[in-house]
Amino acid sequence: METLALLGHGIANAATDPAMLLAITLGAFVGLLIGALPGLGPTAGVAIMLPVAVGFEPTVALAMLAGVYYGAMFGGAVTSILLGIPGDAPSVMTVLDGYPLAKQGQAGRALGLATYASFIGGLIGLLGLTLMAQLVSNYALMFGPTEMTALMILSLSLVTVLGTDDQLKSFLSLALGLWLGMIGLDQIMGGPRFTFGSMFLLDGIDFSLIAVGMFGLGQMFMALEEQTPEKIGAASYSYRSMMPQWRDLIATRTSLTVGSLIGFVIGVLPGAGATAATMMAYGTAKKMSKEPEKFGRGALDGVAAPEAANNSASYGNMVTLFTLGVPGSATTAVLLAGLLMVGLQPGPRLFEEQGEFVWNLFGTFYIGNLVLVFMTILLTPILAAAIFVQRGLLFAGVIGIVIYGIYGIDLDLSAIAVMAGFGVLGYVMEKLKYPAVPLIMGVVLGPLLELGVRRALIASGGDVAVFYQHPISATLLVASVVVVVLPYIGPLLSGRLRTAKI
Amino acid sequence: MGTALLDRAFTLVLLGLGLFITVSAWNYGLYQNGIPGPGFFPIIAGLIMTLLAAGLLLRDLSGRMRLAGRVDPVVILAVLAVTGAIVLFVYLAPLTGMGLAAFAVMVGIGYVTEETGRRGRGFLLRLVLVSAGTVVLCHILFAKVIGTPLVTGTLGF
Repeated sequence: METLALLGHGIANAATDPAMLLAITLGAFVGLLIGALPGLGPTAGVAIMLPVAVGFEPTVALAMLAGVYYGAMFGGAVTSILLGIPGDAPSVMTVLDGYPLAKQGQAGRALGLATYASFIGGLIGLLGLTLMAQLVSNYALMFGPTEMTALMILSLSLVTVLGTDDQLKSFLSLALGLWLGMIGLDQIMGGPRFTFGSMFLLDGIDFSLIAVGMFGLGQMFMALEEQTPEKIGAASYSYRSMMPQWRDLIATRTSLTVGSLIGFVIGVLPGAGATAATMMAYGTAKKMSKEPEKFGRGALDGVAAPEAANNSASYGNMVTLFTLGVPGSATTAVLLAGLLMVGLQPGPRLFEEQGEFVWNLFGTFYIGNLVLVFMTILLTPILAAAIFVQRGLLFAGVIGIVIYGIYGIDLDLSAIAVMAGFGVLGYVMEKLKYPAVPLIMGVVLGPLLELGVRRALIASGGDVAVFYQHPISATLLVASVVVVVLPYIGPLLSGRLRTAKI
Repeated sequence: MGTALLDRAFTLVLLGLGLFITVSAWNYGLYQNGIPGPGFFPIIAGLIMTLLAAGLLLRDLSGRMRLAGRVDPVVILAVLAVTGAIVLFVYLAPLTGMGLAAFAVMVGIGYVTEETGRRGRGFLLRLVLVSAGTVVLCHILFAKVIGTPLVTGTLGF
């Protein structure tokens, strides 16, 4: 009941504060555009907006950044359905049935369903976030430094192992991130490390430079390899055809519910992400369907399940961020940077010490989810046209915003050159199939992990047993080892079992 | 340039960096007065980087896993041009002010990154308008709304 009262208060605050409403609308609008533009995903969008947003008051800043994140989940469906071109990775599955529906003259119906599925998925994800956040944060208050350290190790292991085909490169990326996070003054002894005599490096490399460079600029460099799509006619639709069709919502209720639940659960797991959630939701909806043969040819369930899942996943992703201070994906890592830059330390104490901030922010998510339904429907023609915007114009505009934003963080022009360097690194890594997420997680969690490990060892007089004497930290460390080792011994074990059966 | 060659070169850079981090960490001191010192954590990262980069290099040289494809020289030039333009902004801004420097750099970047067949007069006009509009918008947002003291040149913006 207390949670509901706090949430109600938060929603009321968000709905009546003009600054927050403006932040939600602006964030959602940018997110919708980012979601519709191929080549730029939610992480790039949040990273590009980060230096702009942190100039504002904390709730407004985070409401804007989160708006970009969940707005992108709505925007990707529009081009997927109307043009058969997914705007971002989480909307790839929507093409499979959304585009065939559009070709059958049912574009409006598919767009409407995708928008309401996104809303329902978002709502279920939000309810999950609201309920779990309070529970997990209460439980996490029992976590001491050793447990938090073990949790960070598990999180880094999951992020590094999941979602990659090449674990060597993934761990190398993590090691590079850990090192980048160590540049600057030693947190305990105070001496400089890896600063090469530079004053600029004494405070370490600001996370925003790495995030904006690698995810914003790096992704834009990758987009240089692609041709802007030739202008093709979008499937026709009318605003009237996008209005809610209760019959479709009732017919797809199972896919909506299952997609939302899968999305939330996958979203909570570090490293899995919204794209994996849409694939699982689509596969499950197809398995549960009485007419699986319709999938791929214009099944409504094939639109409802992935759209519900990707929106739900975006909120699931935020559970560990707010409750434990541990981001589970690149986008939430950038959100974590946003929280730190506005002076807030996420984790269980955030709910105790900054309760009003948390509930106001959660309130903006509910308002934003609703606002996005109207914005998506109204802006559909703009979103469908955004894909054809000339690359040069987009680059010029985005780089202009980025250089002003980066300068605004520390009022230092040289930071802009450093950001450009990370843009090149991001491009090279993406080109060579080095996942960037472990690097970014290493940069964010590395310094916290180092501090945790060293403090724990100092307190125990150098005795490493401190990590496995506590049952929670021991369990988490064992889980970390299993996560890292399983991909190697799993195939070996299954091979032996097969041989034994023969 | 072949992607495999770039991959090998990048692995060699990481191998060198890993060795540098390991040696530096050793010099910082792994333990001081019986407690973990400044080099304790970096040496872990350095060793991981060195060993994994060596492993990748061996895998590459044995031919077990090699990236296919090439990096388009036009894209490499565009990446270098954009990076160069951003660095140029850093030096130009104190002389001309951020507004003028940003406008010039944005027009340059927009032109370089546009596909060659689409750089018509109409595009150039739109590019100039978008760049000028972004500069005005950023000045309003950062200087007036957020209150960031921007670098101004002789023209005052």
